[in-house]
Amino acid sequence: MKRLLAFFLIISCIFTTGCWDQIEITDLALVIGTALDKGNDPENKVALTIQVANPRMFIPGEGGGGDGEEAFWTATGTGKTIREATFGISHRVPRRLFFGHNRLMIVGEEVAREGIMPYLDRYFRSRETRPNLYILVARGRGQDILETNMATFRSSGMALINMFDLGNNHTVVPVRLIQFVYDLTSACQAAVAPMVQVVVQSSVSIEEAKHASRLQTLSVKGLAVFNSEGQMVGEMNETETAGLLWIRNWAEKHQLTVPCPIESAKASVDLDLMGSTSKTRVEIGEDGIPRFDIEVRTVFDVGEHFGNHMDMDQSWYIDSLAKRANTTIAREIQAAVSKAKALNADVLGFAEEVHRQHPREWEVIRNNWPDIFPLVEVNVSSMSEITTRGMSAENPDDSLKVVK
Amino acid sequence: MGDGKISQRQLAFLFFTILIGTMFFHNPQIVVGTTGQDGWIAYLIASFWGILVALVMVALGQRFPDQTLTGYIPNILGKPLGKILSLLYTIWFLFIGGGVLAQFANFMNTTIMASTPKMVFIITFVAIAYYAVNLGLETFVRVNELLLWVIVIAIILVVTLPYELMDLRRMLPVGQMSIGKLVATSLIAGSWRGEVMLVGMFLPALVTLKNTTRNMIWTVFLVGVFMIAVEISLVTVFGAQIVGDLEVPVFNLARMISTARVLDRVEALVLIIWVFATFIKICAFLYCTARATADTVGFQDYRFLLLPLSLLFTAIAYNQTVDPAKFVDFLLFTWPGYGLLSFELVIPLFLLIVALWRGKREKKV
Repeated sequence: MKRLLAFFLIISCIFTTGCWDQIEITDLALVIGTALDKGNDPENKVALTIQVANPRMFIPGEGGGGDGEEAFWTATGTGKTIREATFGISHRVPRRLFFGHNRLMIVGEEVAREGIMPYLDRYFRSRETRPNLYILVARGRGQDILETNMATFRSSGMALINMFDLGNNHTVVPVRLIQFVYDLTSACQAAVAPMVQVVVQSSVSIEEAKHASRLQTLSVKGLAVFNSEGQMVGEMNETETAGLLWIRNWAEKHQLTVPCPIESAKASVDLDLMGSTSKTRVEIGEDGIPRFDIEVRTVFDVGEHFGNHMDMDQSWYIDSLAKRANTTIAREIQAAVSKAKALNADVLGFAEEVHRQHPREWEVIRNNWPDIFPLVEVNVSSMSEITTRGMSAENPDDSLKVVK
Repeated sequence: MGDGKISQRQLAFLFFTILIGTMFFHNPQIVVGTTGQDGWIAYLIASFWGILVALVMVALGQRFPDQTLTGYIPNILGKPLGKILSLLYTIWFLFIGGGVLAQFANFMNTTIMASTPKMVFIITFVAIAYYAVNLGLETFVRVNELLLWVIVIAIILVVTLPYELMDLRRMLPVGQMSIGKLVATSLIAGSWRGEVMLVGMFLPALVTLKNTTRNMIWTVFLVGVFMIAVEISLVTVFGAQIVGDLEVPVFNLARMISTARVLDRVEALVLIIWVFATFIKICAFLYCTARATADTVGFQDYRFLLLPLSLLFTAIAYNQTVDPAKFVDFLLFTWPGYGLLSFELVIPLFLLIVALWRGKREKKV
């Protein structure tokens, strides 16, 4: 019996050489980003562009710069569904398309304006793609973003991923698909996604200038605003984006430029954000319209004093800077609020706050929220503190003046 | 019966695995899908149902310390009726055990092994379970003592590692659901917890019955704590709305993990839990089926029944690999009636009342 068992165990080794569905990595085409556009053909509505990385080009010291070998290639396919478009591409690619490393969902502006909802399903249903990928909206066609050959980075897809992995950086706001869909399906029924566009690369070396096609780069700027139907209804500029960051407590790395407290100097002072928290308190008015009190607490570091006068070492000066920061923050928040109201898209998370803080009243407000939202009143109280001022107390020029 | 004896600790460990095994996977989708972020309240109520089942089963077991559930049913109800009920329980074990295996096969097809035939998973697991149970109860109970720690650590990792994506305020507001809906959902969640009913088949194998009640209550309660942690993690990462729409939410949760860009793609953790827990669960159900068959028919030994029952098990499991919509429908509308409302709580409670009323106890030999 034991011998028989041993025999079967040994024999079974022959059949256990690998996984049932295994594919060698060299047979895979690693998709790192996808872009969705509208197809030209009315029958085939979806145009899917994929960017496939050439892993050899990402190994430092090896292959890099090897002529004739590009760091990535792109392909576009059309179909009635995203899946059909994928198969359309695979007819032209000798390797199996692998979406496990797909970390970008770039939506063309046309698609975004028409409505993004039908495009979301595939990203949640796919076994390979993870729904925590970054979603962004392209100004123009998404295809152009992925086809951009950048001077500053090997592949435009990897460049965007790298940029977003750094976190909230000033007004660059990475939005993950799960966050986007959460916002769309939550009480707010509105969401934002960063916008990206192709711009001309301004600082080009002589070597880069030889390749005319490498004069482009990508710029992430502003936010696209989506309404409850998943249609892009407008954009937020950088000031409004900053306001949104304060309200939603998303600000991480941030910078404010405030005018110098000495009016006559007409100078500017840069403040770098060290930490911030914001709280939104909701009160329901007698007329049933909620009022929002937004309390932002921030800590700043003086990053730069662009001027040549003294008093930076005075405490009133620092206090005055903090007051100016408060004003700027309040202005940014009000800008975001009025934009959101104008678009009637509650991207500020107000409905969620009402739902959380006044669940009973929310049941009444819920159905009329699109009518109520443009009427809500917002009060901002900002409390800024400046705790450090970098590695120097005073502009060197100013110290000379004091001696004199 | 030459089966070896198991300790209190081993029993508690075994039931932890049995209870969390399948619950971990499909349950959050249904509970969060129906009660939103208040799912944890449903899990708390479900713990109460589970504890009730445990109390009833242990109370019955203490009246008949040397017999299994299917062994003492005829003593309580009399021969003809008791034998029929014992047979029903045998079929129930077979059916639910098959269901567990079918879920496993469906899960593997849904997640990572899309094109592997379901029969491959089913046959592999039944074969291993047959081998393990054939070596006796003590064997797989001891194996479980090792596997449990892996399962517990894997669950803790899966639940805590997506911390970067968590927004705890998504748990608010609390108490949006009506009590009626919470209780109804707790019956579904409680039917999984009610699998603690299986303890009736293991009690005679215990070295001593002392502290069994306390240990089983703790086991059921701890499973509840783990499920609440899972629910909180899911809701804070995805939001209640999305969790209800996801297929196998826990697996999706593991897919979100990307800690410091080093700990990435750790879905295998979920597979570890799933494979280990299914293995132990299949062993337990196969053992229960065999014991129940032997008791009902009146055999002394159950081992020679294992081979035919394994084949039956395979067929029943394969038969239950239905499409996902039907499956969720079953979990929502059929399973509570099958579980908590009949075989898990109501019938044992009825048995206990009859036993108390007729003053039935095991005759001292």
